[in-house]
Amino acid sequence: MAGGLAYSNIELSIRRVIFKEIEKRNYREKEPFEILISTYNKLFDAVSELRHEILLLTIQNEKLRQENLQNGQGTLEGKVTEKSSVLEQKIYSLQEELTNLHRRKGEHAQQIVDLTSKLQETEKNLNLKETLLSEAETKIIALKDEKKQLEISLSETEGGNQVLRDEHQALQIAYASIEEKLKILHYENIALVERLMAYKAHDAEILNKENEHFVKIKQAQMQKELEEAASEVKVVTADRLLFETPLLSSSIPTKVHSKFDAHEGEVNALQFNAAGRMLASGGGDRKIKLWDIGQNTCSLRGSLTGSNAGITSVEFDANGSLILAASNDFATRVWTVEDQRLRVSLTNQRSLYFWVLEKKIPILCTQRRTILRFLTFK
Amino acid sequence: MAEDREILREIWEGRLPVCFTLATEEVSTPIAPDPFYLMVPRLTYFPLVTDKVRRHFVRCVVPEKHDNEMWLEFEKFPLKWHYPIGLIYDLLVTNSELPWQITVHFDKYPDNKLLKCPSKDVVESHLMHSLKEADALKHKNHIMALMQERDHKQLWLGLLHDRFDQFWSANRKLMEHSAEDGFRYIPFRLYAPQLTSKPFMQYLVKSIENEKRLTLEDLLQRANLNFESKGPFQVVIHGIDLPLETPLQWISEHLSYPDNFLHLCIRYSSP
Repeated sequence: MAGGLAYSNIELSIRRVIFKEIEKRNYREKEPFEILISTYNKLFDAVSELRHEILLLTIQNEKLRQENLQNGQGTLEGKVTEKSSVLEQKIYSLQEELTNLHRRKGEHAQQIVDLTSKLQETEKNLNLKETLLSEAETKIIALKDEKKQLEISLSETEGGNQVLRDEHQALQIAYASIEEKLKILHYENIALVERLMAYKAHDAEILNKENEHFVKIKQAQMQKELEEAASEVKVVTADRLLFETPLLSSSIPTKVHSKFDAHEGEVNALQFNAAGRMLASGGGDRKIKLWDIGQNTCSLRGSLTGSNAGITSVEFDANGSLILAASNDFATRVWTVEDQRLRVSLTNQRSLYFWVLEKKIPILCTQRRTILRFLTFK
Repeated sequence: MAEDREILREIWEGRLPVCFTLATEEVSTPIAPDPFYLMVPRLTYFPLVTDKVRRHFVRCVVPEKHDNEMWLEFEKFPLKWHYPIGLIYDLLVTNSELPWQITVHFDKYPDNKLLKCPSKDVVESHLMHSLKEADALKHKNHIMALMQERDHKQLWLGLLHDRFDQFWSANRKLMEHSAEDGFRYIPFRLYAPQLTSKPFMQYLVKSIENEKRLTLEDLLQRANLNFESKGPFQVVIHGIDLPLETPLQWISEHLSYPDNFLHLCIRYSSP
């Protein structure tokens, strides 16, 4: 670009110089001859064209002359030849017309052929289109059926959906109500448990209070009695002592009644019967020996066997007919006194000691700290 | 880009008056044919404008030679048809006798000096070849490669039918260059028959070197020939003398021949 290269003034002046040179050259070389040569060329072309035309015309002339010569044989028969020439001309023109008509006929025939072929083509196209159309129609019918079926299945699935949704809702409601019930029950449960605890505590308190009260009363009674006793100062003389034993006379045994070897080993348990006449002794030799106690004598009545280990405790029953014994072999046994036979042995109890709190209801105390209560014995 | 349309137009419209005469020894009709005058454009090639000449003269030659190739001659020099007409004139014609007298021959084609030119397609391929060579020098052949077949045809037809607008609308693309640089190398041929036996000289000259725009003088310097030895000289192109300070880029854009080359002749103004 001229702008891009920034031509300076010097260059513009150079350009002017060059332009002037070109003008000079043109003046020298072109202008004098331009018009001249162009006119010359035009004339030359015109001349050659004219020559060509002349040639054609001479040829035509020759032709005509020749024709004339041929026709010119009957120049004496002027008129006839004239007529014949006229007739000939007519014939010539008619022949020309004939050829024209033939040509046109040929053209028309060609057109007809073209048109029939076009028609056949269009008919073929039409048939094709019709078949396509019928195919499309059958397709449409098939598609419509499909559509109907799909609609039916769709409505069915929607119904099923709806049913499921309703069930789901119902289940949810039931679930919610059950949850609430559960909550309520839970709270009730908690409340009831609390109340129970409260009652139990209350009961315990009451029991405690009763016990305390009872104890207090007893204590008070005892105190009262003691006080009374203490307050009652009775003058007690020595001789009155012998006759009136106010409460209790105690004496320490000073003399041994009798002494005998009862068992081979140690003696663990002794028991008088209710009458006081019989003594039962149990020892480490696993026997229970029955002694008759007279005034001064002790005679062996019998020995009860059957225990597998040392006897630890012996007891008569209320009637004095049965003997209950506990032994180290973890068993308790019952014998009858009369026939000195073992009646019952109770094993697996680990009992070592027993005693009878009340003669009527024997209580067994075992090592396991369980308490067996014999309500009846058979 | 070549923006000076005035100059471009003037160069395109350059014409030379030529008088074609049939060689006397080849005339076979009793009357010699008239000489044929024609205004030939400076920028085209002889085979493109001599159809009428041939038609005019071939009638007067022995019938056996009617199919021979026609060749032209000036003062015993056979004219190379692949040179532009303006170049041949600048090179050969030292006297300015106008119209230019050229002799037409049909016989004895000088095969050792001239190439044969059987048809206009040969001229077309020659033009395309020169354009590609010039574009290779200017743009590393980018532009010619980018141009489509259509544009190539436009160049050829514009030249063939002497249509300035048609030719230059396509040639404009070949004159493009990036804003600050010029062409990579300037495509030119230097003709100096008095100094060297080579038909022409062609060497690499840039358009811009060391930030300075090169001029005609720099181009001549790089020829390594002593131009002054034969006396005062001028650099002639399209029949005009170029001042030596003209920048090469401008010359290449505006004064190139249709084949995009600058054909510069060294002419000595010897008495």
